[in-house]
Amino acid sequence: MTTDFDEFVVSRGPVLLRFAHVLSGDGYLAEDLVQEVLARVHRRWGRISRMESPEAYVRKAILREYLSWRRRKASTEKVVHEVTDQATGHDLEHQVVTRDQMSQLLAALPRTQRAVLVLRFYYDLPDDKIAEHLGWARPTVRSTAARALAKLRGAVGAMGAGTDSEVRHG
Amino acid sequence: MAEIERLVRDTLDEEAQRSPSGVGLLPAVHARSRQLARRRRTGGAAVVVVGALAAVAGFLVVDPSGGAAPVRVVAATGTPTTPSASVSIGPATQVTSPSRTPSASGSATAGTTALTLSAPLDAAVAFPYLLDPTVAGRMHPNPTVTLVKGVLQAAYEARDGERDADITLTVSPVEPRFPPASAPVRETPQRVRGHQGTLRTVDLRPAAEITLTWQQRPGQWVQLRTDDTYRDRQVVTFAEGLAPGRLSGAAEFAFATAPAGATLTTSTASGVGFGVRGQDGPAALTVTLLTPRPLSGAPVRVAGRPGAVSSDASGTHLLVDVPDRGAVLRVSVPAGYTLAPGDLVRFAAGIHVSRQAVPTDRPLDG
Repeated sequence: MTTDFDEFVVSRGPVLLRFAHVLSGDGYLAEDLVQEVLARVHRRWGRISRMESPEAYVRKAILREYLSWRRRKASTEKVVHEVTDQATGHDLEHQVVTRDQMSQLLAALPRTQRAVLVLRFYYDLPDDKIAEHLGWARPTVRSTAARALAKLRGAVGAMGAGTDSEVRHG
Repeated sequence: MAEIERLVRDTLDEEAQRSPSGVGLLPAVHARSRQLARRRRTGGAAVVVVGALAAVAGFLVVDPSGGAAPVRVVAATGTPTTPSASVSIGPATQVTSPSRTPSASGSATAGTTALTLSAPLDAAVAFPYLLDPTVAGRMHPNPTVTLVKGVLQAAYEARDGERDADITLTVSPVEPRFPPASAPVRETPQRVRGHQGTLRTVDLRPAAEITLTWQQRPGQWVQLRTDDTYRDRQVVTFAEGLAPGRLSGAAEFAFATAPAGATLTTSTASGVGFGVRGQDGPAALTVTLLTPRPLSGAPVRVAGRPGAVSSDASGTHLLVDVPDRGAVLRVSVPAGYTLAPGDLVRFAAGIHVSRQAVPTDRPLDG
């Protein structure tokens, strides 16, 4: 059982780390998440390995683990532009926002909001599938995504106006 | 797509490229696993308070529609919506025939069954039982539901991995068989939901596996699997608390056209298998999302994507490159079944693959 499990960790570990990294935006947190989930999976590997897709099971566990973990201050709090709920009237086409800046803004979002954006824009999941993954109602997914995007628009607008401030965790 | 959305997508794509490499992951996982095992041993036996025996009145009256697989294919009306999560191999109108045709003739010959394509299909399946709410509340919502060779499975994951354990339920049309055990096995008879059942414990490490099996009714065997986090009596209680219901699984594959009169025999995150009603044995048509590999066989274009068709003693196989998933789609028609070459390509062109689909090393027909 251990050998089979070891093979899974070695072969699929990088893919799982990528998923956790996109989800959390933090390489260290991603490693912690994947280690924790795989350590618990180890105990149950006899059953999980008989599933048709152990990897899908583990990915779902990583998502849940990410959403349920207590915030790790040291690894997630960064000084970035304030992420407010207010959208601005700035025309985004004319704003220069680098991906690094957007990465910081995404890192400052509440986890549930970031998770919804990751599932929608990285994994291209429709809202009903996101709702299934998160155990939410579909309207909750829609409103959470809308709030997250509004915050990002507001923050981008603030960047355009040259307003710097510290992150406010949601 | 709005500019802000495009920026989010591009940023996430870029972050994915900076992911940790995984060096040192395995020893770290083992160290953490040992730590958790020590904590379990010193933390005392887990106690789960399961509500009263849920002695559900009329419990044995199970919804006939929730019986064991295979699941009847119900054709969707109209063309299936292509969710944004999907990769479409392409619309049928873009199909071009292979320059060299596979051996499948498209018409029935002696000992073969000819498949024809008809309505769209969403490969979703549903599990016919639900855990008692008291127990389900200790599990994460939305358990993984799959169908593999006619066996439905619902895998519940414990919220608290130290106090609770995962619970997996299966419903099978035939009596389940166990693979050879690699550890001592103990079997004890148990009365379950009014039926004679068997509680089987395999003394594996780091946790012993416990499986409770019983025949709920003719043609429906049910199993409940967990580990020694729970005592035998608790496992039986979980089984007693099962209620008829409908637990839907996600469909990672959708088909613009599917074999007429087919049944779903397999539906997982990695593939789908179709059977023909009234015929036992291997699937009549399988679709698997494979890890990247060379496209071996006669070149063919499937909706503009490169593909290859080959035939051997096991059947006819079409491989289609799906580069944006880092995968290869394999469509197989096993020996004993035929699908006209044009239909094989048309079928492949109409497959939509969700981004949640998971490439595998092993074809469903392998």
